[in-house]
Amino acid sequence: MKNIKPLFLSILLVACIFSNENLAPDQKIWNYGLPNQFGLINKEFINLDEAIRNDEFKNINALIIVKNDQLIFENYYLDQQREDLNNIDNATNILASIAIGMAIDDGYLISIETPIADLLPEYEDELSTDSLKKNITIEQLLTHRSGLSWDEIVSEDDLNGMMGTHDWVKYILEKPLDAVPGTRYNLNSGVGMILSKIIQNLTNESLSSYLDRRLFKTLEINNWIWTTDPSGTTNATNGLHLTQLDFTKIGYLMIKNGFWKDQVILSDDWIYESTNPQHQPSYSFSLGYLWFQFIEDQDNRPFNRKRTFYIPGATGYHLYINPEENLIVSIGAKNYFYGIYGPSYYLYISIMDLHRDTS
Amino acid sequence: MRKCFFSIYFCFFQHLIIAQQSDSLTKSKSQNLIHFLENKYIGWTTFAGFDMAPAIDHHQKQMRIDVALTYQILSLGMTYNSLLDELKQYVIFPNVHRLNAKQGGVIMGIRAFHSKWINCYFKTAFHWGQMTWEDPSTKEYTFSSKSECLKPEFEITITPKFWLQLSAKLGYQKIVNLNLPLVYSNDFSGLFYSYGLVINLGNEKY
Repeated sequence: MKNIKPLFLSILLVACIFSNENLAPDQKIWNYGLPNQFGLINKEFINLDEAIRNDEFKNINALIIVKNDQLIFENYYLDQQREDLNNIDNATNILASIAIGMAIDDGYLISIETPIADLLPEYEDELSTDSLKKNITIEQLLTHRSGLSWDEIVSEDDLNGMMGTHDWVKYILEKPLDAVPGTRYNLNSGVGMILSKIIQNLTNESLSSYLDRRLFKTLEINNWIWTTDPSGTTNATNGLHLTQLDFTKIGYLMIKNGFWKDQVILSDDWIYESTNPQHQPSYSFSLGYLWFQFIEDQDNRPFNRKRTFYIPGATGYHLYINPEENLIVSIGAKNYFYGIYGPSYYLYISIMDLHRDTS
Repeated sequence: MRKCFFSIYFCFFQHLIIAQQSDSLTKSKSQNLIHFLENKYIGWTTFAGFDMAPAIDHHQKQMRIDVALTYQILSLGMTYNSLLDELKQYVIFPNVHRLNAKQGGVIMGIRAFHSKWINCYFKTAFHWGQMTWEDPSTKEYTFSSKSECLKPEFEITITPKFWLQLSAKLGYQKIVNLNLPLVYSNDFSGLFYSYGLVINLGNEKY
């Protein structure tokens, strides 16, 4: 008996010492909710989840839906995990747009009408090749109307050519003009590099450092990777790697008009200006300052009575912000062959269809 | 709170060992432990049973084991419990998660009444443990939180045999410091009851 007694104590001690795995901390931004709390039908979202699992939308690896400040859907596919960093491709551009707004808020920049030649003295030679180049403004970069020759829709020759050089900004600014600046739309993700260099010159710190200080730390975006070009300029064309949740936070900041936990990070004037149409280059979308908007008379019009704006990353990292529905849809995908309006776009439309069913 | 319990725990054992040493002046110190275990005032009890404790909306069944060292009317030991019922719900829609809860800690008590057939005890346990939301398919934790629990209780044992007793407990548990999505400390706080068997390995029959 006397041998058994200490044994009890030992067994109990062992029983009390159970493992506690180190898990990544939960996000502290949104409470969790269910679609049916907002008049939606859970079953329909479960069916949508099943469709994504069955790859009906092709290579979707993450879907997050925030509605009325609650996280009502978060799931990962194709072996993705919540903490995985993914390259958001040319959705990176939108960070350059936000940085310009912050530079204005901080007093570094007076106006987006400022010619870029005034802010990039080191590229005087490249900007001197055509007298009109010196007239290119930040506003024209933000609306893809710089007039610089660039082919990103038909081929990726210019992107690949740029990424093969030492100084990407130099490569872009060396391109000839094929339109008078401000007159013609031409999608050019390379403008992110020019904006990145402008921020660097204005603030004396790289774009990544500036946004880390001004944006990421406040939004508690602690895990990110941002590549640079070989000259050291932050790659605001396609160089940012974020988790899907952190990508979603950017949309949440926009829908909250720049407020984050009672702190103003970005002025609501800039958000209003940058997310509202500045021009309409296509029958299907209009453009703010690198933010896209749906056109009112498109099929999705019932859900766009107010402004819905979005950033469509080329490989499928899309962020849709629908203030009318108080809705953020954040989609991650790896689709290299579908273009901007590929599976991620159709996934968003399907989600809006689920809203349509209940409206 | 945890430090306080450890201090009591330490003092209790210190007291027993000192008492034992003074009772064995003529014996070698190497035999202290054996004599300590054979002391007629000292015994062991083991409770094995179930707690029906609040968990979210209902009382859920938890497996519970207590092992305690008794010294006259006092007892001090360790306790462990684990949620048995399956609590599943949407945590991060559309994924269903299962709640897993395990706690262990120290328990101390005092015998308030005893007779040949019935004994009554007041006890207090302090638990610390872990609750998790886990993926039912992979059993991997998605969220985990440590928690602490204070658990005063009243116990009655019925004694058909000295070494085997039937036990029923009624108490209140207060969970604190739980940090899990969709559940709160108050979801697990409230009145609970327990039932089970006690194996009494005391050296003194009362």
